[in-house]
Amino acid sequence: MTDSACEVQSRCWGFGGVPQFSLSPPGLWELEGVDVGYFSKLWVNQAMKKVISIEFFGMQRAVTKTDSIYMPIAENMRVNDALEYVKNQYPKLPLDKGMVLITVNQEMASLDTMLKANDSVLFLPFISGG
Amino acid sequence: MEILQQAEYEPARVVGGYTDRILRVDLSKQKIAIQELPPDFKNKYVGGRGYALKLIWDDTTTKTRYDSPDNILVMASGPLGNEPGFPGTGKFIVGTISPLTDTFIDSNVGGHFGPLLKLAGFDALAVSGISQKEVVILIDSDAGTISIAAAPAYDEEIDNGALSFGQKLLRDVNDGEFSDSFAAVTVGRGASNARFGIVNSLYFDRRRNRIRSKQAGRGGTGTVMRFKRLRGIVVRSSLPKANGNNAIDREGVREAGSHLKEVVSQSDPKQLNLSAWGTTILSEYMDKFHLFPINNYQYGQSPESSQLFARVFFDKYFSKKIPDGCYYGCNLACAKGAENVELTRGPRAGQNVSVDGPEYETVGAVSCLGIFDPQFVMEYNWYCDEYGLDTISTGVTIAFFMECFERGFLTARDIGYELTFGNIEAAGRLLHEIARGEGFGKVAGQGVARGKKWVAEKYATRHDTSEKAALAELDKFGMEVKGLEFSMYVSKESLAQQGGYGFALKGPQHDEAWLIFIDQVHKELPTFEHKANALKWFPLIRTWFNATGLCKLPWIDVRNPEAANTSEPAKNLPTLAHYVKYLNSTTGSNKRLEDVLEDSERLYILQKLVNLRQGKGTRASDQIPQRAMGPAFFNEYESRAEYYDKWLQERLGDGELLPATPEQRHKLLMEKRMQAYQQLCDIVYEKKGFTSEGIPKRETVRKFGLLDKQANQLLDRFGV
Repeated sequence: MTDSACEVQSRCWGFGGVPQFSLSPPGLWELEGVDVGYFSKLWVNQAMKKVISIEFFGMQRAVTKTDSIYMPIAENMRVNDALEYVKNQYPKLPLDKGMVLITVNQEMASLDTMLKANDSVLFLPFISGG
Repeated sequence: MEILQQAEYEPARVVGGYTDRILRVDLSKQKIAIQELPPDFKNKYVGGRGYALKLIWDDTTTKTRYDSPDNILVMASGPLGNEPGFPGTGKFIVGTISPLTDTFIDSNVGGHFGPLLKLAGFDALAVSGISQKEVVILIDSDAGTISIAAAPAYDEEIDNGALSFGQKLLRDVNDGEFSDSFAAVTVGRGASNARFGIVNSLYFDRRRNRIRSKQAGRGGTGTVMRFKRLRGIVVRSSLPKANGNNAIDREGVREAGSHLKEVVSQSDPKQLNLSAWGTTILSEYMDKFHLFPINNYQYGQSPESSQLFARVFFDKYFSKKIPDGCYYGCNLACAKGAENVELTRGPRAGQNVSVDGPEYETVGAVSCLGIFDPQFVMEYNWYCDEYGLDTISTGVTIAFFMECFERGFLTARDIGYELTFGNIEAAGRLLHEIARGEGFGKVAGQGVARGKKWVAEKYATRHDTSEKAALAELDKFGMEVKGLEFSMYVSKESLAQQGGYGFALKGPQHDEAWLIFIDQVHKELPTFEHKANALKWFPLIRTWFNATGLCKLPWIDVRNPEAANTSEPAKNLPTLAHYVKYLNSTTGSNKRLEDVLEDSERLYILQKLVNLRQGKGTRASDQIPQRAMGPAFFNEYESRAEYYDKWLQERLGDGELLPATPEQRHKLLMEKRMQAYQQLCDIVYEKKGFTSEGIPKRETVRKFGLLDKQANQLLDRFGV
């Protein structure tokens, strides 16, 4: 496991009522056949097979240096958890309140929207068409 | 240069944003005249589009067509153009009767021409008549002369190119040196042979040390200019640009400008970051939400689209270390460009050129052809600019004929070769044929509306069917309304944007209303009432930008953080407050946003009257192709069947089952989409003060002081 991947897991598991796991337990599994960009070897504990993807566009990609990341989720996690997760990972990413539109599976979502496995979360700028 | 006619003049001083003068040039009579405007003219018609509309309304008739001597080509900034202390003030409009739509068209364009024309003493330039020989107009406020001169002949390559000719001309008029006291507008060879010729706006960029160009792209304004045998117009003024408008309240202008610049500098880098990426950044968002036009708008997304995303152009082409912008003082600075791009195809292959762009619309035009090659985008961009062709209409027209070929309406024999989606060689060949007026280019240069009729005739003859039946099929995917080709957004899933395109008075260009995201993604327009309100409000505020000489992007594409605390964030009202302050400080008025909207509505109604007079003003003219409403053909439905079935089930409700077969579901879905559009027409017309046929009611026209003799007769004719 790379240092950065350790860091991701560590931070992710440390908030929002998510159960804590050892960073290098036996039986780790690797996501296969998916582009996980910067975190090219994202390891997730077998107990947390449920993941969502968070995609980055434009300026966000320039900051994060990746197209998308995967985030493990547990029961009752909400969009706000994903937002906090991204803020923790990328403190320089501007995600100020009121300045981004959040979608889950390309539908508008609020911070309270519940997340489920395989959801795709986007934090979009406002686009009004020139 | 051989001077054919010259007049001396004393340039009027700009006061409060206006000179109160229009320069009128009649090329048939080689007559140069200065029209003094009465004081109430500016109060009623504002500037820019408003001035162009009033001139067209008064001085042309129902019989005027693009090539009529009485057609007028108007170029006008507006009271708020020409202020480096405020972002986005280099805009001017080019307005005329269009070769594509046969009614009023205007296209807004950046650069230095509009500001310099005002500094040279004119709120607008109006050119009528047709010259007997190719000419240029020279407006030299430093010398106090206005001249009509024989167009210089250089060599064939330069003379055929709008960019090449303009660069040479700008050097020639200033003893071989470029200077930012000069700007020009020019047309190229393509404008002689196609109905969608553009006017190039050329200016000297000191930082890049080269001539750059912006384009008045839509509706064939360049074709009109070329038909008048007017190859170029040069304007010169050495007056200082700072406080060029001699604002009534200079401090107010400074405050409004510094507030808006702060919003732009703080927010744009956190949002679309147009200052770094330009408008190409939109491609990936459009693709993500099925809005990126692929294969003539059949699909909104493609696995290959990523080759056309902003990062590709940013990494490979854009010059990054030089600040951009099409006019002084704009810190949004979205006008990206590239130097030393080697052309690999076409008649100029092997040459290195500078490309101004691409803008999102040009990228979309290429995806519309099913082509995902960024080098082709750069070359397509440059060739279109050099030939003087609209990248949008060129792309949509070629895409239409590609689909005609693929669906069997045309054969390789009709075209001369196999014109298929994704075929770079064929697309490039047709582009050059259009510009030269050769081969199948002669047909394609007429645009989609006329192309449909040509294909229908061919097809009907060959297949023993009626032209009407063939045309009905072509109408489904011929992406034009009123004769103008669509701009580059798939509107299938946004009813509000379908209206934005259908009701747009000039034809389906999004500068009246771009509502896709707030409708389709934000879900801020859930009811017909919401959509209709947006379809009234947005065209009015956007009209105001086109009347005042301002760029819309610092308002609409940079969300002010304070907008989140307002009831309608999409209107970005906190930023609009800076614009209203800028207006009042410049002109000395005391207007509120409501007053601004009322001024715009007057211009909107006047444009509607012009449309009505020219045969494009009723409900029939607002109808859009089926493809703009949904999956017109079964292959489009199949590509997103699950999504469409879900959409249909939601409309049917839980009590009603979906039809059994996919074909039946597709048919029902399209019926529902078409019904919804007609419902939208009804409610929007009511909101706008129109009859159910889309004709302005007499009281609506009277309310805005537009019920003159001509308007009375027109409304009588329509029984209103």
